[in-house]
Amino acid sequence: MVLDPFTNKFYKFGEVAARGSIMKVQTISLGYMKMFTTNIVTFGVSDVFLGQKDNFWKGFVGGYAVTGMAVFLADNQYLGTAALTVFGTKPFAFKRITVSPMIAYSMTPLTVDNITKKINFNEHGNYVLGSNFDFNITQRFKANIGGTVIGSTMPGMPISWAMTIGSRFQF
Amino acid sequence: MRRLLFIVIAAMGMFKGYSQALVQTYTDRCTGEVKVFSVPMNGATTIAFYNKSRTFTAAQFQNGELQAWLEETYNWWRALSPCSTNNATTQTTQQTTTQATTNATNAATNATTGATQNTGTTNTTTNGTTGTTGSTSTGGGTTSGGGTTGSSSSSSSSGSSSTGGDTSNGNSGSDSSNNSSGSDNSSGNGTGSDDNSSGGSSSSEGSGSEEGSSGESSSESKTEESKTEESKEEVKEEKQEESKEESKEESKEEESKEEESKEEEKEEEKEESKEESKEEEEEEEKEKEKQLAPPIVTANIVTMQMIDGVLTNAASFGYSQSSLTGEDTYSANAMVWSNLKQFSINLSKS
Repeated sequence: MVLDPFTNKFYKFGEVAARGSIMKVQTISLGYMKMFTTNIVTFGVSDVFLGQKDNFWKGFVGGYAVTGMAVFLADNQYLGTAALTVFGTKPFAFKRITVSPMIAYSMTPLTVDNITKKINFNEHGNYVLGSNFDFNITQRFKANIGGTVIGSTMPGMPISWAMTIGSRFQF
Repeated sequence: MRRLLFIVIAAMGMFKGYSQALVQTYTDRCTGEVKVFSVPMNGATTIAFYNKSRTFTAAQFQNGELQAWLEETYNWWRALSPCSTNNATTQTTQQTTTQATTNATNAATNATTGATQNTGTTNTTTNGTTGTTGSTSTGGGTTSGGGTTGSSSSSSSSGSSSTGGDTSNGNSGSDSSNNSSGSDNSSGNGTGSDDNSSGGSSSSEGSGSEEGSSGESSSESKTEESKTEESKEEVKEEKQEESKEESKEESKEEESKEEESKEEEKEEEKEESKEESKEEEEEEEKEKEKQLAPPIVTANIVTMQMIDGVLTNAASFGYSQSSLTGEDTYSANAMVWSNLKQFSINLSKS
């Protein structure tokens, strides 16, 4: 701001915007899932922290998510639960490929059923191990392939897996 | 569950005496899928329950082993079925993790690119504002120069339009003033004629006085002179009236011309205002478009194994768009399974 001595007015001739860093990204989500006769409504809040520059966590993306779920089962049975998820990933960028290994752990410690009307505690949880591979086809078009393994700490629960093949396009 | 157990046991009792195999129709309560399987019978009772079967003896019936197996099987089904809480939790966890990491990565990327773009845009806008302030400070006379010297196209267009408006208004103003002065001249002529008429009367008086001063004369000549004077006066009056009428007509014509010109000016102003409003709306729309970053569209095919061992395929679609600054990111994700009995929708704001 420059003061004009004749008019006593301030004039602004420009701005300087310094480039900063992002500490975290907060996401609020609302979802609905239908699985055969089961309807699930989810509401979640997640905080994703981005690794700051020049320290050990440079490039690391990790955070937590709190998801409230209302599961409506058949026969007018419904239950409410809260899922706590902790996850982290660190992308490794190469020339035309970016490898992003990730790890996540989720658990539903509390569950309330409308029939028993009791709060059930569950110490077990699910873990997700996987990696995603992004291929830079062009500057705006990317292809990705990924794989995850989902396991549970509950005894007797089998390990399942998932494969993802797709693309990402930025207009 | 008890009804189903009763039906199964009753069916086994009915088939026991008549056949050597147990055929059981199993309907999944979750998926609605109907499964039929048979169990050979060799002296023992075979129980089929929730996609599992086991042969029990009478002793196992009595010691409660059958009941324990039934409860175990039911719990197993509850834990592994697609409608189970575990499955829902697993699916939700997987999707939450994937979407959270994807959204965070997108938001971070958009914020980083938005920040760099912002620094660039602030510099350009600053230059533009200094250019306009410079043109305005120099005065209205050089607004066209300021408009032409403006670096941005919008400022130059507005400058040219404003100067065009000013010059047109100035021309019309000068023309109207000239016309009005012309009308004033005509009115001045009118008054001049009035003055002349009054002068005429004075001249007649003067002539009379001159005649009077020139010497004696007959009354006839006086009457004739008076007649001639009257005729002259009449002629003059006629001329004056004609001139008045002409001046009135001219003034009316000029007034009509002025009105026409005013109407034309008004129409032009209206058209200009409409064009300006349209241009402003277009600029606002462009600014709104500029406030949003280009959207990101994702499409994936997912093959996953459920916890009950069944392979399922699903297609997922995502759309995310962030603001130009990268502060807000809105995303929508949808997932549809190949059996078309499972789908999920997720909306999020980062």
